[in-house]
Amino acid sequence: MYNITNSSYNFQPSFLNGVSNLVDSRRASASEYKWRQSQVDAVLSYSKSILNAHHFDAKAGFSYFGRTESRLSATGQGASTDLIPTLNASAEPVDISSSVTDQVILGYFSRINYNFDYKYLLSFNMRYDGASNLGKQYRWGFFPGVSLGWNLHHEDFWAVLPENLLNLKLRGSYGVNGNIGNLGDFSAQGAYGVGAKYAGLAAIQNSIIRNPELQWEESKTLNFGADIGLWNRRVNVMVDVFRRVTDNLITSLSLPPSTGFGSILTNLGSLENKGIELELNAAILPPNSDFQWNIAFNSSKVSNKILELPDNGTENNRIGGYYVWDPAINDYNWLGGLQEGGSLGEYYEYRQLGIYATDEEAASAPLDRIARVGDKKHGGDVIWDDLDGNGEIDSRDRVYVGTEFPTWTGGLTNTWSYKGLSLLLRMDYTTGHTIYNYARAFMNGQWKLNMNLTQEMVDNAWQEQGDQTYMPRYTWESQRGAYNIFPTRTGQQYYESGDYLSVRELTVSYELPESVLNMLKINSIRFNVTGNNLHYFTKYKGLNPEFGGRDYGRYPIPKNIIFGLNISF
Amino acid sequence: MRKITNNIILVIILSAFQISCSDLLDVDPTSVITTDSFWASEGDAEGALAGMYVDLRDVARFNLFILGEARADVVTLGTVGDGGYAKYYNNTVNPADAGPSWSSFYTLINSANLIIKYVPDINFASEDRKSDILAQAYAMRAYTYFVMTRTWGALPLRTEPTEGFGAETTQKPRSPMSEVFELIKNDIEQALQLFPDEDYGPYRAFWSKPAVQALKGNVYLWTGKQEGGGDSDIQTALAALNEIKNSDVQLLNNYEDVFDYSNKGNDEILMAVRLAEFETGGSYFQNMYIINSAIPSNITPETRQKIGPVGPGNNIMVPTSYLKSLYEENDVRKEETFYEIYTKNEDGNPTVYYTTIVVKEDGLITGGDRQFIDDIILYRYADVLLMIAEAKNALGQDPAAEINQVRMRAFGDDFSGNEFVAGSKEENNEFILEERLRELAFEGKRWWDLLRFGKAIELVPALQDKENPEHLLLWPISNSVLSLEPTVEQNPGYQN
Repeated sequence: MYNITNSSYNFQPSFLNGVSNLVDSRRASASEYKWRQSQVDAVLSYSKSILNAHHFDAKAGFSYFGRTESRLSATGQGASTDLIPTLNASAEPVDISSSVTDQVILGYFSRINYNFDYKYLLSFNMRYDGASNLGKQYRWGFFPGVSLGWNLHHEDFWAVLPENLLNLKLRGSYGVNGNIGNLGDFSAQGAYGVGAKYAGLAAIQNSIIRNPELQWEESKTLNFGADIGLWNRRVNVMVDVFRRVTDNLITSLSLPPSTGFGSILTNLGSLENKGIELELNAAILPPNSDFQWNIAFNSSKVSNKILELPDNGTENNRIGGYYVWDPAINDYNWLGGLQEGGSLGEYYEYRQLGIYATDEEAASAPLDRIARVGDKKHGGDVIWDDLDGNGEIDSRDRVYVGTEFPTWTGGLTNTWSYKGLSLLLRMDYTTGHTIYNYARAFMNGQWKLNMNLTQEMVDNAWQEQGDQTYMPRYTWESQRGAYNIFPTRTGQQYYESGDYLSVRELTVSYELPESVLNMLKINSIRFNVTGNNLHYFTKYKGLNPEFGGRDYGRYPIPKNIIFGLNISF
Repeated sequence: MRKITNNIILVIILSAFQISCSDLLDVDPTSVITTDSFWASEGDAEGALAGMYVDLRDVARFNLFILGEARADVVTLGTVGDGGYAKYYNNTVNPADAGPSWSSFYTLINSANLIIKYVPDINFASEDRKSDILAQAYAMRAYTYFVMTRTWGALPLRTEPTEGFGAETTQKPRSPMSEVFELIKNDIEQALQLFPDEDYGPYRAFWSKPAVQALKGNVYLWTGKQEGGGDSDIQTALAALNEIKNSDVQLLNNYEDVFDYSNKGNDEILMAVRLAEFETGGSYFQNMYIINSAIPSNITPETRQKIGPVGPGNNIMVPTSYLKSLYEENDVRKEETFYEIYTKNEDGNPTVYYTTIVVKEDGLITGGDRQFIDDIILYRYADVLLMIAEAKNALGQDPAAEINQVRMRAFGDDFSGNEFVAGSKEENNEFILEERLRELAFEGKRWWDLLRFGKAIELVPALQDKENPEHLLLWPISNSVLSLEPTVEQNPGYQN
């Protein structure tokens, strides 16, 4: 059982807006939110060994997950006093609403492990899961898996090698997993929403199209791996290669706007993820040394490819995308978006070549169809790349500028210790993802009048005839007239690489030696200082480079320093 | 033995769950209505009807003005930046920055299609109410397609609600304008037959038979002049418009009373989109008012008084000097339409022009703040009278009577000397077009009027300086729409 209850109230006392304008609507609101979750898991397990060689163990179980969310909120206004901040003083109701929504997930699962003399390992597992928010005929899904392992070092022939020099296990597995992601509680059944009013009448609006065929998303993963231990496992290496094909991806499919709907939740085609994972642990110094140094390193590379999309009559069954110049075929083509054979999360953007240094230089600029004033360019305006060479800058002059998803991710941890003193340094990295730095473009393009600009813009903006720089002129109306940095066109420099290496944790700790402890009659005393998120090595200009996508001004991950003292008696 | 017992318990537990599991997963929705449970009762139909008007309100608050007037010669840059509206009055809309998408209009079409599909099978206590609801859905579909086809030309024609997502139903190419108008006209006839009486709906905020006659007049005037329908269409328009005179409608004596918040749904209104407190935010009129930070300090107390609280007001668009020059000093519509703000000169006299605010629909002041929630008028009687004049003139009849009815109210005691006297057909046309602007400025009509009279390129300065402006009379289809509708083609003349 798990409960969250959250209640709050708000009050806006009367205030002067300007000199003579007293706003006295005195809005008051209160809300209550409850989350109640019940979970039951029942597991039976059984194990048995026969003839000291055949080892079985088995597990079977059942799980239940039920969740009820309820909300109640009310807003009123028109109280005649500032003294009471709660709703009982309000004269008129503004908005009152409550709602309840439930979800149930059930599952049966079982697992059978068998090994013969610890040499050959075999394991079966299966799940049979049902979820209340899928289409009625498709609620239950069956997800089996099998894995095999071979401990080569238990084989007789392994004895030719010196003992404990090399441990080797080969593994292979294939399994199916079911997933429903963040599927809404009633998305499959379609929904008619309520709450809006027209002329005092309560309205009912078709907000979600039903999809009675909505079913489990299935990912089938094939994995091969090896566990290698060297020198009595002082060095351990794990290598895995996998290919995961996800079918019936639960995704919102963008619909043609003329259907009157933006999207529908559907099992959309299939997606392939391929990758390798590498993990390495090593104790650099022998176990009997006073000084110890351990290194743990892991790294993985994943790439995605869209295998199949619902048939919609277009080439590659494309959904969305950009109609741009494609240098590969020397013609216009639809690129990006979702296309069979393509990848997810591709960005296309206009390419900035530089900044016109002078008005004369700008006089020969191609006609700019994106700008509000497209036929007059000045010094300080951006030189856009006319990719198709038709003498005009238009929406076809866009080019691939990166992808939202990273290629490599991983981490490196070093631990040094000497007697009671130890030092831990944990770092991680991600490369290959592109971040659209919207917040930076917002400030430099002055998309809102009262916004500040970045120091980079202060230092580098074009200011007078002849300036050689890479940032355009900073003035409100000309900026908008020329669309140098504009919501519909920022140029590739705002699609920044998010590659980073972070110093995630640095810890120094010291444990008092036993001789001292014995005097104090204390079991142990440990001091430590930990710094988290100390530094990024990155070229990204925003605050937080950790994931791709559009950065509206993400919160940075806080740096913190923790001092610890641990005493046990 | 113990193992067997264990197994028995296991079997019992599992089968107990098995029995109840399918039931456990049948979770009934508490706070939403699912598709299976809807369209069963009269109440569902009433709720869906209100829902359709909520969709209408969504397009009416800003988009009807943008499509119907923002590209014409009536507004220009205000004091606080263009707010994205410059592309309209400068006529630089393009596929990358195309203005309103048709998506919200098709949401409205879909709501009408749902009613047209499901309401006939619902039992009603009163058959009249049932046909009234159906009539309103047909009227809404006709009106919405009429707005859209004048904007984008040929359209994907959807007469069935969207209930699935297969490409065969969701992907539709555009049908030519002739087919769109055929559907519009059929829907209008359906609506006129279905309305059980001549009455206006509550607050005159619902489609009614007289309101649909006004729509019919408007549609046939358009097809008569723009789609080759000729005199016979204009005859049809005139007949429909004349029918309205038999309903409960009149010109109010005071022009300002038409737009007064406390006088919503007055006798001059045929159809208005209702904006009410606690139901919606403000309308496009807020963008033509002013924001606190843009109010200069050196204005007279009277001016400050006149501006009052501004609420969400902003000064993104202001009336053009052309529009302001159209009004005679003694035309009461002038000061009811806009107000010029002057700052004080060195001598303390307010003589330095600062900016202009539109006061026609300046909303409601409540709790010390302003909300721009006057109704958005789709058709009113003065509009009908001027359409009658337009139809008469096109047919070679004298349009003076209706024009003068409108002008008599505008000039009051000063009417004599300001009467309209018919001249040549061309002169009358010019006068009617101008009179419509004086009477209906900022009511979302001017761009359509310019197109219908074939005068857009001649009169809109931002179109005159373009090469081959003809293609600009239709709007571009945005790239984002095209990327999702591969069977839809761009309008001619627009870059991709």
